[in-house]
Amino acid sequence: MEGLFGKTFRLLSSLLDFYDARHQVILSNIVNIDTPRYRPKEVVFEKELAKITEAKGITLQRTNERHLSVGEEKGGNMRIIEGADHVDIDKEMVSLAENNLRYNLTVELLARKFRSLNNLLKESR
Amino acid sequence: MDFLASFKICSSGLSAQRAKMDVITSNLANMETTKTREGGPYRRKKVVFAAAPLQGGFGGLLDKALSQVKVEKVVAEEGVRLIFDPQHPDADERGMVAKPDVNLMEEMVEMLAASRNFEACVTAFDATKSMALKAMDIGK
Repeated sequence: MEGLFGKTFRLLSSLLDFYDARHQVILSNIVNIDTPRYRPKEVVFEKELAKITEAKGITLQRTNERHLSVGEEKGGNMRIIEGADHVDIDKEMVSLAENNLRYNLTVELLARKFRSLNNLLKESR
Repeated sequence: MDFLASFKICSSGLSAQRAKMDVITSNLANMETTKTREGGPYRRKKVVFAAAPLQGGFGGLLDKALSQVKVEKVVAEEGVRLIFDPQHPDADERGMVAKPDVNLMEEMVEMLAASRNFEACVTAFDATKSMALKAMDIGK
């Protein structure tokens, strides 16, 4: 099973989890736009990616020594930081749209991966 | 994906903005009301929102960050507008009538803001829905 549903699947599904978390945080920022003393929250991405890539042992080939490497940082958990002291609706709507597209892209990648496996199984009969 | 939580957050925003709209329309409708059941002129109402933690989470990191919105209280403002109108049935002995301190421009601006915030919530809801539908494409 490991060979069939390997690193890519796990990476993509953790990405889906991450975008889901981010989506929910953006939603709660948007609905609390009128709430006094509410501080908008943000999910930080890099550390989480670092953790995933580190755990799954995914590395990138470095062709130049000045390239940054993936997963080198000893990342902690997914972090939620508090932003400015008021909700910026433009920023939130942009993040919402961006996050939505990224989620859809990840789903598409996952679906294509499954489809290619399916094709493989069908053609090898 | 926990779509139910997302939908819950969106719907709390929608109903909060709708409540705000209700209060604004009540202010507008009662701009000239000089008699109320409590006595005196109508008092301008203002909605105060509060962030409420999402119920039924799993106690994870995300639960602390997620909050829906609820109407915490509706406060009535104290101020009245005194207008000289001796013919008015509610005029006092000096001929002054106490009218609600409702500023039309202010209410219209608040109304537009509430309307736009409602639209933002609808957009967020649409985005959630499209993500939920897209997630169903995985197995296709």
